[in-house]
Amino acid sequence: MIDGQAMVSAGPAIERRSINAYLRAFLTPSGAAFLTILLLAALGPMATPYGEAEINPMRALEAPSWAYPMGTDLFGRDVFTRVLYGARLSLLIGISAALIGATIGLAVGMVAGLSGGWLDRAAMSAIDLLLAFPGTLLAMVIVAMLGPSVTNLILAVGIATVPGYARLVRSMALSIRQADYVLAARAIGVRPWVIALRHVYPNLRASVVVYATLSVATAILNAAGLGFLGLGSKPPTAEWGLMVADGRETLEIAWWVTAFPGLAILVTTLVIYSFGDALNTALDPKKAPR
Amino acid sequence: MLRYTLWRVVWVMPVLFGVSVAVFLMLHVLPADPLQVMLVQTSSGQVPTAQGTEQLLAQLRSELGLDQPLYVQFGRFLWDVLTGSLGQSYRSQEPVSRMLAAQYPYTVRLALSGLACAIVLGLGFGILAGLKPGSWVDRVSMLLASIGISAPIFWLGLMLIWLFAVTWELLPVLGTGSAAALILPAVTLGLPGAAIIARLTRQNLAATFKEDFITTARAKGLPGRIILLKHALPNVMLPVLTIVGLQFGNLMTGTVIVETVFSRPGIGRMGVNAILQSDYPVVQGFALVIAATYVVANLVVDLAYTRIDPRIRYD
Repeated sequence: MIDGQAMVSAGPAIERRSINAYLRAFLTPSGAAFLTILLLAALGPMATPYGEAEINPMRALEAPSWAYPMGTDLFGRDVFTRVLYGARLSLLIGISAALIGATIGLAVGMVAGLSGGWLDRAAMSAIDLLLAFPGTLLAMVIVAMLGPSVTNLILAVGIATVPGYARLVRSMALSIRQADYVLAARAIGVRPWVIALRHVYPNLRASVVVYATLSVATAILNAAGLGFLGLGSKPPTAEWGLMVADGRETLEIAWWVTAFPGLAILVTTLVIYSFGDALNTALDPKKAPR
Repeated sequence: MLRYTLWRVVWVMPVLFGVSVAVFLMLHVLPADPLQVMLVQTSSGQVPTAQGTEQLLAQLRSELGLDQPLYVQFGRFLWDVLTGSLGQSYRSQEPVSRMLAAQYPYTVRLALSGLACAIVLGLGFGILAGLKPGSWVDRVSMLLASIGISAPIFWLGLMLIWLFAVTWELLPVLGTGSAAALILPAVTLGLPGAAIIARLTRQNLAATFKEDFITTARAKGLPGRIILLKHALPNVMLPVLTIVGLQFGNLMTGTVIVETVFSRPGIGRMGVNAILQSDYPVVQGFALVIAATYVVANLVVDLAYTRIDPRIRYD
């Protein structure tokens, strides 16, 4: 993880190389697929002729056709349009939750790992305690606390990922702070927060980025689960979990209402997971071309 | 060994204490007043007159002990937990412990069946794939595993219902009595875990087959079956066991969703309904029971390690 050579030339060179690495990750098949999903989510809703909640009772529960590629639901709303709107919401939820988790997790993990002593022990006891709750349960309890809404869903799913980040960051910070360059910096009297930001953080960044990418997918899955249970957004919002739940009542006569939103979740998480793997390979200095 | 076991068992106590503190604090540092919510709900959406409401609120508060300072409430809560009583549901007035006790067996049965499915399917596909890395069996199994990891289980469950119960009419969907009614829920619950176990088994098995002791066993002329069962699999089981332990948490929360999908009784569905109705004592009981189950399951896995791997000695 700690590449001695890279450290000597820390600064602009390492920055440039990691930017190249990110570009490389986007040029892989999974990177291209991820970009496609992002584009569909951003532009798709503008391109369809139907509205997110535009009902048309005359065309209720129509099977997939050219006019309605994914069929229509009980209210005659176009499922494809709603899947596109749902992509926007799901990615928004997933990415915001991952950012919240990464920010808090980084802060807690760095402080715990670098300061050591009672602060470390206190932080880690709290983290272990939170880990005693399975992630989804933690998110459910937080939603129970704050009430069901999209903002609270993001908070809940984001906070539920904090323990994972904090653990990862702390264990890496613990090993990095033993590295020679950190000892040297400390010996010449560099202030602790400068050490944390200039010497430790750049070495954690790649791992945190990969973890965050994977946690976007996990957050999307979790959020969809909570949405399905009715703990997320309210109808008529096009949210994938909620759409699957809605389709449940007409499953026997109209499979498409349930099938496509779920398939969208499946494809999105699958793509993000493999994009995370690609990113991991691209950011690993041992595998990168020099 | 005995010392380690005892220490691990004793260590569960402070963790459970911490869990109850966390659950209590989460639900008592609320921005919204649960009583307001409750009152509006019980009066079926009609907002009662202001004066009557104030009176009713005050009365309810003292009845439920919510007018006491926080530490008194916490003391009472802790005492209740220790004596096995978890208060009363705000809505049905039923004791929470009785509600939980009635629903818990259903959830445990579902979780254990799900776990069994995860292990059987995961090991089966993992071994098939790991025996011949690179073959089409391997590729198909690993593709299925990727899908299993990425698919939301509520959707998997509904798709299985659609396939097996609606289209082919092979299996019943509802009902809790028969074993057949447990098949679809258990498979749904077990699939994500099965996918992870299959990947891990495949990876480890393929790696183990490259080890020297396997080459030696082959050179001795041992039949493939014996090599697999006696030499390779024991080495593969340990990481799999770790994952099984970690998966148990997902399994417990998975029951929440599966119970909802299949309309089964269980504490998961009870918990979700309680959250939707702001029935806090029930939410507390639900969170406590799930977290406690999770902690105890991890303890069991930790202790099982020492049995399975002779190299591990905790002293």
